[in-house]
Amino acid sequence: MLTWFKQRTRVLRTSAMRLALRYALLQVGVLALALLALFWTTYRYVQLDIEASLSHELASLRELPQPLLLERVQALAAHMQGTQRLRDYVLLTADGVQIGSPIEAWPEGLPTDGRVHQIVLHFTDSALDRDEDAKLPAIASVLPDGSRLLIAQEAGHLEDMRDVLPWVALALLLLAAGLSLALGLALGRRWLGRVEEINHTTAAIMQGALGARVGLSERDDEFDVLARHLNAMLERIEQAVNGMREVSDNVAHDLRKPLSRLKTRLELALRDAGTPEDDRRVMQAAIADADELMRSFEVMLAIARLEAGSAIPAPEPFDLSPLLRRIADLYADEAEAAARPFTVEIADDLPVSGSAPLLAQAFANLLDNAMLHTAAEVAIAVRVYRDDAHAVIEVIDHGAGIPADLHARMTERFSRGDAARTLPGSGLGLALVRAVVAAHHGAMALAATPGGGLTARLRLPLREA
Amino acid sequence: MRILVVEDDAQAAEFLRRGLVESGHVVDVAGDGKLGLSMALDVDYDVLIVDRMLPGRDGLSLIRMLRADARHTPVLVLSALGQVDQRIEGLRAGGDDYLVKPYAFSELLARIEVLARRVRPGGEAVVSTLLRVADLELDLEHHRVTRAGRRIQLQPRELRLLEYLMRRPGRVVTRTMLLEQVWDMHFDPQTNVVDSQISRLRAKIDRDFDPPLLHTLRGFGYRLGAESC
Repeated sequence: MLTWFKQRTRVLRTSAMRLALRYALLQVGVLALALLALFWTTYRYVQLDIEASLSHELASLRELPQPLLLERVQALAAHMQGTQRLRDYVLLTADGVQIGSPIEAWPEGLPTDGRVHQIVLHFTDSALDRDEDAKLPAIASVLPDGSRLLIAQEAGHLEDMRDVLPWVALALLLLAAGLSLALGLALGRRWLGRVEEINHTTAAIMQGALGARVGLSERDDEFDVLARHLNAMLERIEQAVNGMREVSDNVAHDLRKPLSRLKTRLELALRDAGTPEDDRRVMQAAIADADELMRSFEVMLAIARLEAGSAIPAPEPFDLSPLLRRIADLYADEAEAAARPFTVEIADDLPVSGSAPLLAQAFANLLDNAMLHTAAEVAIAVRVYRDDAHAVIEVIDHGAGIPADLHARMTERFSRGDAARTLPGSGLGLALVRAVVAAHHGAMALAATPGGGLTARLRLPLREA
Repeated sequence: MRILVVEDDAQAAEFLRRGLVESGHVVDVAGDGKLGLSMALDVDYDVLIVDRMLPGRDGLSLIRMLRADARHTPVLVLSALGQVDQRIEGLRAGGDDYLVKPYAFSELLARIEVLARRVRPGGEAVVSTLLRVADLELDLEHHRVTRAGRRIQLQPRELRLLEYLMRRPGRVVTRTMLLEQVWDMHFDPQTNVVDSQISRLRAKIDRDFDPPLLHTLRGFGYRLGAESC
């Protein structure tokens, strides 16, 4: 009962209901004004019509010669007597004889100017048991022989209209108000229903059911648009949360490994009391482990910041060519030391906007990958060229390559090819490259090198001159 | 050297102080930014080590105030904020070097010694174009390198590395210092580009000569100088 009542009052508190109430009020007001205007104009026209008709009849009666007029007035008055009377006729002859309708006395206040005036007439009619005053439109005139003629219009239907119209208006107004309120109530309930749906969903999500989505109707109305947007937002959030969960799983996994290695190393050293030399070696190895952990950590942080869109707060214009050349030269020297074929081909003048240190790191990561994941004699080529409005950076190796279906997966965090599991590295390299490139509005792709091997290709938009 | 450590973490500050004192330096410690600034303005220190996040006044604003007062005392910024843009921010505020926590104490020691050396002999204006370490000479104006009077051909990137080392004779420079300051790489490459650069340089300046000048301190860094360690 209480909930039912609450449900009702909730409908009353909806914005739809409030809107409907306001509209009902406005509607009733406007309708009342309209009816009033209509009533007034109709009344006025009817009156004008009556005046014209009275003047016309008076004029035509005046035309008649005296004896005929007398008969005619008597006939008209008699005709009107029995049935529903429409008009009253009174003729007061010069010698004071009054014939025609049963008016008590000639109304002295009525000017005999042939114009219509409103005048109070007193009727006494014993036959109809009539004894009343009535204010009627009347017209009077003095005839050439000194007699006076009066024609008055009985109110009849006009009176009825004046009586009935207010009731009709009231009924109409009530109907309009009722309809508006009913509409508001219906709308309110419907809106409440749709909002309730959204509330249920958000409540479910707050309880932890991240997969919950707002149901859609088939109407494709504004609620559906809202629901779709909400669902899209929830999708995005769920992805982010899942991504985060995945990352923390991976972090737990990939950071736990070097951490446990570090711990084991120290525990073993503690147990087997070695020479100070041994201890030093263990300590150095432990520091190296810690450094590797820190590095992974920094890279993860960098990726997270890039993906949150906050890492390049102040992009700066610079030329990609000398930056890449400087790094490529360092790697070329290292390749030379290992007798590895290494070719560098970098176009001049590649103006970009962004973070030089981050792009340098991305490029170095690609080179690191090529160097670490191929045998020492495998040829590596660096090709950087301009392609329309983009700079294209290619690091091409002719090694074993990776299966094409793994290309997309390789850029995920901590993703490592099976062959690479035993090699050093956090598996974050390509994920960082992808994040850096994305933050520069570029794209990264892995492809098979024709004839075997892997090609990593970055496309970066050039800065417009 | 007289060093001021501005660090609010008492344990970290004590660890730093002990390490620096053991290395033969005189160390003062300030626990917050306000005290740190007034001490830095009062006393003529050789090097300041400033933590970035401090109570009272944060590290970067401390450095800005110091520089606004025309003090050119070299400052090493310590921070847990290690992303590239954060480092750049630290250097732009007037820091001379930036070290991310956790750091190796040896790295810190190497850096402050290099920092102090950079400004010490009679102000920073002296940028010599003729560098000499033992019988190795580098004429920066003509890009000429000679050892024992014999001409050595170096590539530009080898020249830059040699110049960096020759400006810090006898000092230990670490791998990270070289990466950051010679090649402007603010990350640690997986491959050993630093070692291969050092080997190339050593092959050119040491192979045909005696005594060896370019020394590797395993797991630590490099040093250019006649005397062996």
